[in-house]
Amino acid sequence: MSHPNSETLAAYWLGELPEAEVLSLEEHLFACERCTKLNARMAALPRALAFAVPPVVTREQAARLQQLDARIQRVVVPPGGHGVADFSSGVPAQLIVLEAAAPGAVSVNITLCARDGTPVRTKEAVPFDAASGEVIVACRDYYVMDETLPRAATFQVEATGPGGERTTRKFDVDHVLPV
Amino acid sequence: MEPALSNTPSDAELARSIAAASGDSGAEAELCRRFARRAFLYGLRHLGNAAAAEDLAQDALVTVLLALREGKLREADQLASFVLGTCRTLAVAQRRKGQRREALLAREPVQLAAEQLPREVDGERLQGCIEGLGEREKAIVVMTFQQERSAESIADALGLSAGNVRVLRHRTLARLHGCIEHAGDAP
Repeated sequence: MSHPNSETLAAYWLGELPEAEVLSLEEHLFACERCTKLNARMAALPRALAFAVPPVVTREQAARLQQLDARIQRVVVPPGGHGVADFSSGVPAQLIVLEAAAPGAVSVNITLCARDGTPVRTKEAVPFDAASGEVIVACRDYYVMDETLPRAATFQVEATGPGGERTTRKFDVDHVLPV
Repeated sequence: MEPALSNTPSDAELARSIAAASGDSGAEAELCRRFARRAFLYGLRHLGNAAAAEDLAQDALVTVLLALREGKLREADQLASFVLGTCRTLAVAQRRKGQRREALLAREPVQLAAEQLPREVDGERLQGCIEGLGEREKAIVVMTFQQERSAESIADALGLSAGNVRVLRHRTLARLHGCIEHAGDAP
C-alpha cells in the first residue's frame, strides 16, 4: 500500500479500521521509517487528549484526572488563604481547589493575577460547584514553565449571584518549578 | 518497501550480515534501532499498555535475532514481514497467557533506546490546537477521550449517525495531528 494518511492512522488507533486494512497497514508500517514516525505521534495523541483539560475543571473532571494519573495532587486553599502548587517532584498537574470561592453564585469568572494584583489572564463563565462554591484550577506543568505567567500568583474569583450582585474573593498560590 | 540510503544497509543486507557473522553487533544494533519502535507501537495498539508493549518489542527482537543468527530467514528481503509476523505471534501468545516472558529476556536482554518510544505530545500546543477546532469537533474530542463515550452515545447527543461520528472523529484526530506537527499553524 502507499503511505497512509492521518485519518487512516487515526482510525487504526481508534480500532475502527477494517481488519484487512489493518493487516496491510501494519505491513507498510513495519517497512517504512517515515510512517513509523507519524504513527508514533498519532499513538500518543489519544492519551494526550485525555489529559488536555481546560484550566478550570469540574469535580468530575478533577476526579477523572486523578484516576488517569495517581501522581496528580490537590492543593486546597481557603478564601483569603495561601497554598503551594509544588511541581518539584515531577507531577504533571496540580488541582488547586479554591474553597468557598463562589457560594450561591449563578456565574463565575476567574482572573489569574500577579501578586501585586496585575491581571494576566481571565476566563469567563468557568465551571464551579454550586453547592459548595468550590472552583478547581487544573494547573498543568507546562503552565508553570511558561515564563509569561506569574509563579507567585493570586487567583481572583468574581462570583455573580442570582440578583446580579458581585462578590470577589482572592486566593494566593505559589508555584514551585519542576527540578 | 523503503529504499536503502547509500550509507544505511537495507533490511536484506542487515539480515544477511547477521546470518553470515553470528554476533555482528553493529548489524544487530541497527536492526534493533530500526524495528524497536515499530514493534513497540504494534504492541501498544494490540495489547493496550506501554509496559506490555515494551515486553513484546523486546521479545520480538530477541526472537528475530536468534532466528537470523541460525539462518532461519530464507528470504532476506522479507525481514520487515518477518519481524511483524513475530510480533503477531507473540501478541497472540501474550494475550492468551497474560504473563510476562521474563526467562527469554533474562537470556538475551535487548535495550530499548528511550528515543524509540513515542514522544510526548506538547500539551500546551495541543491545547491551542483544540481551541482552534469547531464546537462540534471539540464536543467529539471531549466525549471520546475524556468521557470515553461510544460513537453511538455521542451520536445520540449530537443528533448524528454513529458512522458520521466515527468519520468526524478520524478527521478531527488527523487535524490535531497536523496541527501539533506544525507549530503555530491553525488546525
